[in-house]
Amino acid sequence: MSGIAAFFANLAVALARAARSVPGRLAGFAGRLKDFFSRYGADFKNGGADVRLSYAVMGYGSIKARQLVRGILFLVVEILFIVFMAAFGGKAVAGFFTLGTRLPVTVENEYGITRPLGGDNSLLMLLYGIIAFIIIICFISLYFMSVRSSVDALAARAAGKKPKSFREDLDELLGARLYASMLFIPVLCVIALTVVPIIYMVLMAFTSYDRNHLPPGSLFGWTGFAAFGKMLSLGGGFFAVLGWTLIWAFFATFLNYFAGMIVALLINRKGVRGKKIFRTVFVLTIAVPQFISLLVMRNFLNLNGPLNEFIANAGMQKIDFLGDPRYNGLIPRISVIVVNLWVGIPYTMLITSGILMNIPAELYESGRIDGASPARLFISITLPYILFITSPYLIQQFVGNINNFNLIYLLTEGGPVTLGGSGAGRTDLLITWLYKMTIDEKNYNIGAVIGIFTFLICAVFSLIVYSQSGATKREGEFR
Amino acid sequence: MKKPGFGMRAKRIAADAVCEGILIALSVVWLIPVLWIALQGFRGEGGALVSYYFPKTFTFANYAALFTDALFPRWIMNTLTVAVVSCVMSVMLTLMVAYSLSRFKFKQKKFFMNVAMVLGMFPGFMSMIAVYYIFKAIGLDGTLIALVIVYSSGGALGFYVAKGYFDTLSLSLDEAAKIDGAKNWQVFFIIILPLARPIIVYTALMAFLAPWTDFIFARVILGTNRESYTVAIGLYDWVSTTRSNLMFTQFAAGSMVVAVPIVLLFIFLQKYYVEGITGGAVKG
Repeated sequence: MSGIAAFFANLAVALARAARSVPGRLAGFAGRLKDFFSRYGADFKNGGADVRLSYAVMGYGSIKARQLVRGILFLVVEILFIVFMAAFGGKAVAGFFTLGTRLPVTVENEYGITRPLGGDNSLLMLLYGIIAFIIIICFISLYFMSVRSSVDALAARAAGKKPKSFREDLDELLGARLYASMLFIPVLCVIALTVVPIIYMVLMAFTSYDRNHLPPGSLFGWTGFAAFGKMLSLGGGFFAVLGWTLIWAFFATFLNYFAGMIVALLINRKGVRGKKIFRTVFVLTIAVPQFISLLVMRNFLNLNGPLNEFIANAGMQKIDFLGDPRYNGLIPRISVIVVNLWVGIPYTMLITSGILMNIPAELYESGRIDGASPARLFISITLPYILFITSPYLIQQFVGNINNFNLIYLLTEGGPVTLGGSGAGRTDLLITWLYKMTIDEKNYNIGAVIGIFTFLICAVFSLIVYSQSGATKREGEFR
Repeated sequence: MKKPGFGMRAKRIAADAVCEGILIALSVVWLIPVLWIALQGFRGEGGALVSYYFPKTFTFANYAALFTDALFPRWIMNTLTVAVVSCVMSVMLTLMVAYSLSRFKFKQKKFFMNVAMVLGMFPGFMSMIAVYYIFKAIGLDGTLIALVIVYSSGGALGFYVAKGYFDTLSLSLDEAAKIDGAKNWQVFFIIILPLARPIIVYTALMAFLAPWTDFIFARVILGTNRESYTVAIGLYDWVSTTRSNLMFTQFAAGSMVVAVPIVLLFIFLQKYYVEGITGGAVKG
């Protein structure tokens, strides 16, 4: 267990180091920013008319220096941006700050059903605002690129050199700068489907977007930290859920890990027969889609399910494994951890048995020659070896368990519900509570606050891991 | 070293027997629920939960009902289409990102990696509702195209395993090819891709399985458009609605139809799965 103790000690050290490095990094960043802008100022001051014109007309310098295609592309970008801002962007930015002012009118159709018509939709205005800001940021960076490119091209011409042709640029994109072409589409995907949505949700935490302010029928606006206060006032629900989330993640991760390792050791024991059959049995449960095996488990453990029938036939009292509200929901809590063992042990088993087979035999040989007992061999050779290789996996699992929506939602839906006011049940994790808050209760702003806290918790754990573990240092180790 | 005596040998055989016994007991525990759902698929009597483990009558009617069902065959086709397309796309994205980050040194590299790590820590859910509105704004909500885009773009951030693998491939290969006049893109296609087979299989396997198993993203994006459901939400729908009493045995049969091919695929490719998780640390 010394590995784990060392891990948490390192964690503290890593956190402290990270915190201490923040001011230095900020200062470094500010310094670089200053250098960057002073260079642009100096170029402008020292440049001739062509250079100065390039600051207003993107690509002008490039065109002048006969980098025609590159210059025209920059110019087209500028024209497109101006058109975009005039037609759409300006309104979108303004809308971002107001989040809508005109309430829709309610109209009634011939069947007497009412629906909102016209007016502003705060939700869309927030989204369009974010997209407009991202386009503006992209444009600004392209603008600086174009200025740099124009200045350099003009300087090259003045020195009698030929600036790079467009063909050479393209060649470079398949050669030395291949990474730029390869990363372009993935980065676009990430911006559109991860960055924008995350900003969108984070910003929602600072609005009044709840069940009383649902677009398109009504508007919501900026309310600062009001939703944070509201969430904390939900009858202590937050801390109860947070506490259980951490307990759950701890047990779910470490119990699975060690139990899985023990099963792997059993299967890989020299004298045990039928290794392949046992392994296949366990792999079977990994391969069954999780939503199926969890729904099966839910029915299997039901108060009227087969397991309880078996218990009743044996003359004992039935147990409501997933719904007993007594003892603060202790029974459902234990049940979900046990079901998680059923789901998770095969994964660890599969991974650790792969590693076990690869532990160099010499290590054991020399251990045995020194007269070490099997237990001793396990503690000082097997365990550290496995821990070393799987420590990134272990952290991933921990963070994954904090966000283990499927397991909880499909088994208990967070129930049994006994916590007053907050709507959270005894087995609710932050993530399932977030789901209820948004999908069921439509309190999107509180949901967003919960999401931010979940992120912070995961971030702290991951930070530690990645700053101290082999995962980042392993690069180059094999070269 | 002492030669093991007779007593030690007996002890060892006893220990082996105990281990064997524990494993058999565990296997039974692991198989009971799986066998149960398989049996439910063949149960002739209707109803959701019955108080006995083995069905009283066996029938294929539940399976027959699946394929005469108005929607189930369609759900299978939907899922298969989404799985194949998003598998190809996310493998491409993952490999491009992993190769770029493994083989090139450039100014923003560290920044990219850190941003990717931070983004990966936001609960996927948090962004889900926003993703739904983005698709709604461009008129793609409730469509399979939206689902393909969501699953594929996951590949852009899931590059860690593949990058770790590329890091273990010796740089001297690249250099040798470059001395022979190969450009970077040729190095990628001719040298790296053939060597990356294990990681391609792992990435493809994970991407292919996602649409069959994920149901929460699909549920939010597809909404009430039952025509374009994937099997996961279709089956969930059967047991979560008020009709669950009627549909339970059919759900069990449907689960088997989904699970059996996946199980076979997985058993077949489990070696790659282990290699993927351990980041290529395990070879062989």
